[in-house]
Amino acid sequence: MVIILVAMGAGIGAVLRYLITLAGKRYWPELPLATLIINVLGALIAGFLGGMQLGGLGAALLLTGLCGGFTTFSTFTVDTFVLVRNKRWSVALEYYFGSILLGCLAVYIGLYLGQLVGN
Amino acid sequence: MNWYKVGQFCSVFVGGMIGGVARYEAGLWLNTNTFLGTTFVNVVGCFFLTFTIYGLDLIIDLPDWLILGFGTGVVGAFTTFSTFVLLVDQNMLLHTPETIWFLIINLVGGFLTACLGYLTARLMDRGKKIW
Repeated sequence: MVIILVAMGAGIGAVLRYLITLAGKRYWPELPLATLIINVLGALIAGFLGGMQLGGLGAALLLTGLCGGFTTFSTFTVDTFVLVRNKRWSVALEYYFGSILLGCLAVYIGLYLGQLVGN
Repeated sequence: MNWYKVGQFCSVFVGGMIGGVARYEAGLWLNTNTFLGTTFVNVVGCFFLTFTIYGLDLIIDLPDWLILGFGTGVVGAFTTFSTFVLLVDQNMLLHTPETIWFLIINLVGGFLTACLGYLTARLMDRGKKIW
């Protein structure tokens, strides 16, 4: 049962990520802003679910499945690799460390909101 | 209805399911909720994504839907940014040295394996059409 929920969540998460990536290619073709939005939004939701102390099947579907399938570390790294390869050094550094900082901040906000709702 | 687009979304969905389950199983295999499982999926996934983009896509003649399903679906869902930052936030104050190492290994290791995936693809490109 857990594996089915993880699979469903990850499949839906991947499709949502693909939709935002398509929009990103249309509106910001020169910058990987879509991946940044995906990862920060996913971090916020993951923090919120973590703050709510969501466990069991709900966590399998939404946290491991949906948030895990929605966010992506590989695209984030490869986006940076492409920026470095194109010699856009400052954008690459801003994107790489900015994503981590914004992601951590989003988790903190999510955890706080989740604890408010959970209590 | 644009069946080509429907096929692309189905490919990403099925790929995402496979990648998500593979990540879950890798976590169980390497102990769930530890740094090790997330580091493994992220570092390995970065290799496969550059290899897919620069290798599979350009060297081997595979249909677009399969490349999309593997790259965006399987590899994208196999790696995770949300668990990565969640683990950093939850452990930074309690286990500071381990968390800093986790951060460095994921960021530096992921970038290095992405470079390795690219170099592997370039090496394969010299041989061309190996399949």
